[in-house]
Amino acid sequence: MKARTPHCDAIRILFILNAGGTPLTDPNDAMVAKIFKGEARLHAFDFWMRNPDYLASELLDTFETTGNVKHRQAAEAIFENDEPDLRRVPMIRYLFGAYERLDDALSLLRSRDLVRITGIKGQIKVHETDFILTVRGMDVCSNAVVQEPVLEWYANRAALVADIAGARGGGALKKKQYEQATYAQTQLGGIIPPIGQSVQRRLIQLKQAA
Amino acid sequence: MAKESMEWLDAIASRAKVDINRVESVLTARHIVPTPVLPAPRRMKLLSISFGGEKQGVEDDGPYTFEWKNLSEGLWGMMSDRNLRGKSSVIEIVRWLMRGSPSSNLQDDVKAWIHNASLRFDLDGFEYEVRVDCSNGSAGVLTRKSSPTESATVLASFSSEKQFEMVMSDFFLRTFSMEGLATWRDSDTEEKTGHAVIHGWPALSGAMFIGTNYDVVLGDLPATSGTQARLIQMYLGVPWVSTLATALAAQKLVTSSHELEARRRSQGAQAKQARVKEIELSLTEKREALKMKPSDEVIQNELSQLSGKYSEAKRREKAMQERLDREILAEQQSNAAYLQDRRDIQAHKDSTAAGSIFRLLDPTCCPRCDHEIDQIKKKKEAINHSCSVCGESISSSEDADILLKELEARIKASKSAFDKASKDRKLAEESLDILQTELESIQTKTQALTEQLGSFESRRLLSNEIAILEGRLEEASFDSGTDVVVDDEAVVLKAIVTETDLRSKAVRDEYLEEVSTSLLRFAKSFGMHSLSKAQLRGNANLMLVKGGADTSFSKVTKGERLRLKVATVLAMIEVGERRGVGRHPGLIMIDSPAAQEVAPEDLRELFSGLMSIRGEIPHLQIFVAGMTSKAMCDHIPPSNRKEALNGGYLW
Repeated sequence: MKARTPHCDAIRILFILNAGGTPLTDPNDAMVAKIFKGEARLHAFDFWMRNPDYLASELLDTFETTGNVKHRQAAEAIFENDEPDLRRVPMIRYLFGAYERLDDALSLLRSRDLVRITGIKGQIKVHETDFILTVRGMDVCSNAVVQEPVLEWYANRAALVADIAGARGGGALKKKQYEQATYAQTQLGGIIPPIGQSVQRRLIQLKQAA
Repeated sequence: MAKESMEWLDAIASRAKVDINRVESVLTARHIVPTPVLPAPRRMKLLSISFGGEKQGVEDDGPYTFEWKNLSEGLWGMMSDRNLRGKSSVIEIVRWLMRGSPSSNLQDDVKAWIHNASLRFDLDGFEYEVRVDCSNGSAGVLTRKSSPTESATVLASFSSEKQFEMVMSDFFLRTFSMEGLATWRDSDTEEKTGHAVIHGWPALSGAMFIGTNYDVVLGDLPATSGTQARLIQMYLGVPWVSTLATALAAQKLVTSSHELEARRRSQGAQAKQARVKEIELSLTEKREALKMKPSDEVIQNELSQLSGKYSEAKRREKAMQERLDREILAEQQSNAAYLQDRRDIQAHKDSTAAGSIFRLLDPTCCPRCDHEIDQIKKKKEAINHSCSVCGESISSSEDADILLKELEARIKASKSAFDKASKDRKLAEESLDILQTELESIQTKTQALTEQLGSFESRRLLSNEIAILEGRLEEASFDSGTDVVVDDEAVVLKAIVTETDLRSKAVRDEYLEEVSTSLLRFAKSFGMHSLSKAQLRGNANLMLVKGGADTSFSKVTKGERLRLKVATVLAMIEVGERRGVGRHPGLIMIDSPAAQEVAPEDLRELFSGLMSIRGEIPHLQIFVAGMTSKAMCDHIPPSNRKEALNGGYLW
């Protein structure tokens, strides 16, 4: 049985674009609501969405830097809910970071005109791909959590990822994700391994130290 | 004689429960000779006393001679009006000549004055003479004449004092059928036995001399010498006396040496017992110590058992470990399945939710080319459920519900599988824990026991010590068995003494009764009128009843003792004469004491009595040395006197 569907990937991307996008007003087009800059950034966001253990690790890093207990508690909640096991969506490592072509999901979003794909085009190739979230897309985000409460997780998680990513660009985020020791050791083309156990140990240490 | 002797031997053998040969061998070994014969009395009287020489260092020094001839039965007196005028010396010289050795009473200077001496005496009709020349040692002869006309026969000659003594002793002992009296003298110390003392002729001859010592009834040996009773029996002529004396002395010797041996043995036994106890004590200690130290063998056995247990536990541990590994694997697998199911259901839920969202969103454009979808295609989709974009059939959500139920069933199954695997894994872990604890405990025990293994050397040392102690104990408690050696000599000697004493006593008691009666009569005739009873006992004690009160020889006055001594000798002579037995020859020499010790009245009564009994014992010859007194003058005729008047000397 194939439980994973393009719909699910599409919804996840939609919430990422909603959470990570910045408001945009286009005088020529009333449907434009937000802009999410950079495909690499989208991939980086998606990596943390699909790998809760890596997100927890990043949360602990932030907690250690900022002392913000919320981040530690967020990491704790991730393990309490078995998210590293249940919410993990394995992805193939590709070239300079976690990468999986999001074409199918984006197609679903584009066909409903929830998202528009744009970018800065050079003479030969695209320099940067940006994603426009339409007003309709924002409405879907709002209505989906009401219609299907099970999808609330995606909204919350996307918000958390956006919070932790902050203003960092796709390159910076990828570099950060790259730093994860086990991540770096992963064989090219292999599945990114779970790091849940070592992060959980770290969490316990931090909790004890607190 | 032979018959009596045989009966005596038989009686001893049967009493001692041995055969006659054994009795005879003891008799021979101990020089015990049967003397059942009653000796016939001998009569002896002095015929002449003469001696001469030269006095030196005194007022009447110079050559002298003393001669007293024509002596015969009757009372004879040596008198002087002063003391120290030679009276006692005459008696002592007679005694010297008869014994062959001077008594301690003969003063050395007086003896030195004597150059030659002669004593002639009559013994049962034969005339004997002992003649000694002292100018050069003591040389002389003992001669005998069968009749006055015959020339003398030399019986023996001697050339030294020792020979002189042996000659006289041998002559008189044989003549009077006497044997030396053996008596026992106890030792002063416990470690030595006493010893037998032979009292020969010098002692026996004492019965003829009454000196100034009145301690004993007969003779002049001190009462402590133990000879009194035997002397009396000997002179009474009681048979078996010397046999009994010899046997008693031998018995005492044997008993004494047995006692000494027993004492030594007892001391030895005590020391041995103490030693055995000491050894046993330390042996017990060592054995306890050894017991506390388990042998290496025991430890090895235990270790071997532990080793067996250990391998068994180890084997079970391995099996349990393998099982645990399997349980862990099963748990992991079931957990993975459970996890997968949960992930699947989560993904399914998410996808269903996402799907339902998207279903409400009709496509507005082609995701490929962004061209708007026209109304015709939308209507077509609503009518025949074919996608307005790609034309494919659109499925309903019924599949999703069926899928959800299926997933829920799977998750239930995988959870229970996981729970069971978990439980099994925990059980396996617990069992493994128990096994590992057991293994640890075995290892601890093994280690402790292994540390004890070093006890081998100390155990060996202890075992050695115990072996040594056991050897010592065996040695110390060894009984040589000498105790059980039967020595019947003491038994035989006891039988000899008993049998001999029986024979002797029967006669002795009869004689003593007669002697006592005579003694009382003589004593009364000597003026002891208040004496109502006299009893001479076998032990030579003389018990008296005087003035109605019980008394004894040693408690009366010296004058009375003198008279009792004379009365005793006379009584013995009289009984001997009457019964035809006895050994006293009838010669008595009395050295009377100084006036201050014995009252003149006592002497007077003694002389008066002596005169009156002369008729009863006609062969009696009595010499009395004393101060010139009326009593002596009254009873001793001048012809029978040797007198020194006006302070002169007898010689």
